Amino acid sequence: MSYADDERHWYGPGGWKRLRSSVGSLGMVLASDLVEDLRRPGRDPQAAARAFVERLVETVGAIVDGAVGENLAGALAAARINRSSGCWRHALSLLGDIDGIAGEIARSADKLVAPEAESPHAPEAILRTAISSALERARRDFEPGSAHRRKVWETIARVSRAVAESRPDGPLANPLSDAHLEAVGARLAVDYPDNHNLPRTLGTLRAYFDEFLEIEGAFVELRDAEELEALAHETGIAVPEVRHCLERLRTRSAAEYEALSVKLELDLVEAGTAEEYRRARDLTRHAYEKLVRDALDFMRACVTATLEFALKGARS
Amino acid sequence: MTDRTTHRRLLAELLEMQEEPVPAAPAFTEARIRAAVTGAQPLSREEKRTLWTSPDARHHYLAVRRIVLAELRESMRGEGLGRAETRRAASGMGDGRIEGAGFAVVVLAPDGEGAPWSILVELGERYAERLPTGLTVTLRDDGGLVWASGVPDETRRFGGEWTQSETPWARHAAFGLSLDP
Repeated sequence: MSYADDERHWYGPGGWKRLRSSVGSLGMVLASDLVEDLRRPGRDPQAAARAFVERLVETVGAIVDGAVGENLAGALAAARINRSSGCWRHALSLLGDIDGIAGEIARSADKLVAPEAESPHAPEAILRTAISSALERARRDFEPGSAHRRKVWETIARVSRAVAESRPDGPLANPLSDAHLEAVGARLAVDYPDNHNLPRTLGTLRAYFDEFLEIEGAFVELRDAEELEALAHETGIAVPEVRHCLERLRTRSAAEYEALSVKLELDLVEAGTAEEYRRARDLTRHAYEKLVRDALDFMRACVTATLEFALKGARS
Repeated sequence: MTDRTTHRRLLAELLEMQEEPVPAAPAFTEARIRAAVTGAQPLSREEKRTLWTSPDARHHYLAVRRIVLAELRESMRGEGLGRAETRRAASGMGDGRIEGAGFAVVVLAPDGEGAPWSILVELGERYAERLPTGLTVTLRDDGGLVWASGVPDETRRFGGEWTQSETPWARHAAFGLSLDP
């Protein structure tokens, strides 16, 4: 079995990164319960983390069985979690060591309950990192070879950070650029001349970055968007236009249009962060999420109809 | 963020949420995807439909596509193709040409007030020979900005409009360029 087929066999469609990201996103949906639980006076962090992981496992099980309740279904839709993906069947086997995963999360308990410091997203980022790290550990039990790759990556990541920090104009926006990878490769060769486990070519170095690098937000989204455009070119299917769907949404409901823009940080309107927007419009979290869900449902239906039209006219 | 970038990002989000077809779409094997990406066996109409209607199938296809492209890029780099280094002195305001390894970028200044700069990429013979037919190539700078992207035509060219406020020349003074499948 080849590498990509192997990935698909163990981790589902889209492979390891998609599975890890999907479970991380699901964790975010359940995060507020965990933070609330950890804040209870005298609550043991390990016990709170264990309850959280159990809920995570139950939820994955419910998704696989198609037995998600209405409230949770709404929260998953608002968080843009695709319940119909085949990847969830592969998640359960990685979540077997509940105490181990809980331990990883419990170690970050102090940071999770600290007053919001620099960013309101900080607790989510901390939890996502803890979940990712726990899943990586579970993966090592599946694939002994991945432990070695992880160790190599830790060295590369250290050097990559040093290279980025030493750049006079600041780090490059694209950590996968040739210029950055070449600089990292050159530094590895100087700092570790006798370590033959480290990658020496641009391609092998790039493969490590692809596999392990957690790049926040915009860069990955942009890459996904660019790949879709390439797919459109290569399949001869016109990229579905979202502009007219957005216009129709705005005409139908300005509130849904605004909520969608805020939720996905699209900058279609000047409304600030979700918290600021909700305060300004006097919306409960529930009402805000309902607006987002309705907007997403409308947009999905509109884009699907556009896509169907394009597919009917596609050349074979 | 430009309108176009916003719309593309939103589209990616919406397609990510497509319901998987029932019954499930037939799975692509890695060998099948490789054959499609390299142009050896084009996708059938039904396979194209699957790619656009099943997020799972699309993820798998794109994951293998990334591997195939990385291999191709690596081998082209090994042959010295695909890079144009920065030109610190690049500060021109008009038309010009950037010579890269295996390609050239023609930069055309706006032909009137409010008109955009244009970017035209010309593949050299050696680069074009190494590129499977029908594959998208992207000219991107080391800051992550895409200058142009497309499938080269029969004259080995593709291009696009410049959407940034700074000029291509100012940008090229700060960043090198890569042309990659």
